[in-house]
Amino acid sequence: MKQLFFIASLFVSSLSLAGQSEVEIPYLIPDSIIIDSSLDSTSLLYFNFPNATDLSSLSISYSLDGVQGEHSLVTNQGDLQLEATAGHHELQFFYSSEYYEEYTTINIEAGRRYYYSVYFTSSEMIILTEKPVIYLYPEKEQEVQVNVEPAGEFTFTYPKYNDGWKVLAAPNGKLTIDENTYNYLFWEASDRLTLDEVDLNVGFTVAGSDITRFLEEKLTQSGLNSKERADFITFWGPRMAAHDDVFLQFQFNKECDRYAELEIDPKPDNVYRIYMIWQPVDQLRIAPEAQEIPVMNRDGFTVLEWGGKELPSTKLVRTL
Amino acid sequence: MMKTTFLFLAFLLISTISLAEEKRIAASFIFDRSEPAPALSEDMGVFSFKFNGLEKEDLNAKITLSCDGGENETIKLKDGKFDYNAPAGTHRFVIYINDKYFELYSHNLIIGGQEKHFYSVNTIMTLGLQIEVDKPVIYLYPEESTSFEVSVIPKGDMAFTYPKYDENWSGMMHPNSDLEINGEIFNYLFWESKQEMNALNPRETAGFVIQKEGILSFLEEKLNQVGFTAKERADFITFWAPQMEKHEQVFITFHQDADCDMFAELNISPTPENLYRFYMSWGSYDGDVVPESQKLTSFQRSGFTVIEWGGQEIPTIANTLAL
Repeated sequence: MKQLFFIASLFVSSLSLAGQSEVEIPYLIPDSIIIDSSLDSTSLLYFNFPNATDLSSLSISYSLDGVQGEHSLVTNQGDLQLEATAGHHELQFFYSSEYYEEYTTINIEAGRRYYYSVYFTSSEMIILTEKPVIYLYPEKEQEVQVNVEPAGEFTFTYPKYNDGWKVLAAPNGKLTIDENTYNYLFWEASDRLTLDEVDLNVGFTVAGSDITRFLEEKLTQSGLNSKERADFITFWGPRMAAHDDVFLQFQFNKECDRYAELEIDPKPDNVYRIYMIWQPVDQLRIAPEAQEIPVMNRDGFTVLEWGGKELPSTKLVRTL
Repeated sequence: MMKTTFLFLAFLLISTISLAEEKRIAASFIFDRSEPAPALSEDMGVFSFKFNGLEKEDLNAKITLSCDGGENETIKLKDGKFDYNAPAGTHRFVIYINDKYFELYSHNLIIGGQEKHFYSVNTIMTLGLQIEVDKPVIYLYPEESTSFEVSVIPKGDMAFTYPKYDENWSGMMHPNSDLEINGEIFNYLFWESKQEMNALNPRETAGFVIQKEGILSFLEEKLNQVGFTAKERADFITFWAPQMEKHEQVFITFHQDADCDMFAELNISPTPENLYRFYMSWGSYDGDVVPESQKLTSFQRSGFTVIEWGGQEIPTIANTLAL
């Protein structure tokens, strides 16, 4: 993976600007081009796969302009060698489900030998669990101890997490720590997630332009109040609205233990956790089954936590 | 075939690059084609670079180039092009045109003997970037419950608002800062817009260069000094600090009050006794310029007070060859 950063692509021309959080990592690196007049009107393409080494698959599926083939990685046959005429060609490579499928278009001239390195990108990603915020609504003003055990490492907490947060919580939701008043406790952590873990068959696809209305509807349905909803929507909404379409899936309560365990003392009467996993889908290719939204019970000492994860925009299905 | 073997060896010999350098490679060098160059000696090749996106007056500019981390060389462009002879093998280039463009970092470019390789080099202007003005939030603190109307006229297009902005926001405001709009309670008014801005230049802009580890305490200190409440501070810090801490070092410059009209005009009725606007422009920065320090003015919270904060992440110029 590290190597990918060494070698910048010939195909990527975007500079990472504000708002564009993702940096494209190139995967098809032209290593060299040799003029060979003996080749006449065709050209030869050679591909090597430097990081296809983890034995999760012993061959690579490829297609050149829709014509598929298999390239064995174990018979020592060396580089994959393909022949093509001058012009544009569509290429696809698939290694295993632990890596993204890669596809691109190349433009070649006749009478050349082209040498490429193809790097696969692992679909196991370190992804931030973003902005979980915790609101506490006790029935009377009382000291509350809150502990979070994230699946990965904390990347940010506020107010500072120090073996937990010890707060003086009031029924109106005000939290006092060291004479400072807060509305919520904030943490962020990074952990590993494989795309395989996300069940794309359940959730929603929503147009970016419709995201505010959609979130308002679902969050109101789940029982968040207008302030909590505003915190959620002003955090996620602008990022989601920047895409044509997004896929999103809510996860609730026990399901959220996968990201972090939450311990609160004294024990609340009701804890409601709602996480949203989402990713941009610029070509709609999935039609998930809509999710049921459980309704929050706000009786007695109530705790609400919301957070989420943005997954990178990727090909959602194997197309090869 | 000898040549192929040589090139593959050269490829394997690529040396390690510093992390800062890796990050700066914006993949602006695009291979176009190659042709034989029999006039050269057997162990020499030539790169032919053509810049895209240069302004007319820069087509014949003198540029600064460093090859493989070597001494700076001054080269005169001709119609936005220049040729550079180099021994067969792998080479990396850093090119500085002038302050109107970001410095350019090549990846490893491979060349064989007696070959000419043509590259298009995409330049990126430091001026007129499309930047998102992020999360301006507006808090209203009236002395008594009364109706209000707030309108924002951003310099660019409104990208997102919440609650929904419809010519303005209007409703009832309360001394505890609750805003009642269409029967719902909000803590703040939120808007975002996209507009044209120039890259930050720490050589010319007063501000602060802060290391990753110091960002949180720096923001806490400055926001306290200016007079943010703990809640406002938490909103500001939980929004910006996690984004900023993804970088080893950042350049930060603040804008206050009337200066913020460059992002948006703000009209509030009834007229507040005190209106404070506080914006932060910041960008990842790996240069070593020490910018001129910035003085901040503090909020006076008496009478009907309005606080707005916002900011934007802007690419920051860190030219290494221009020193």
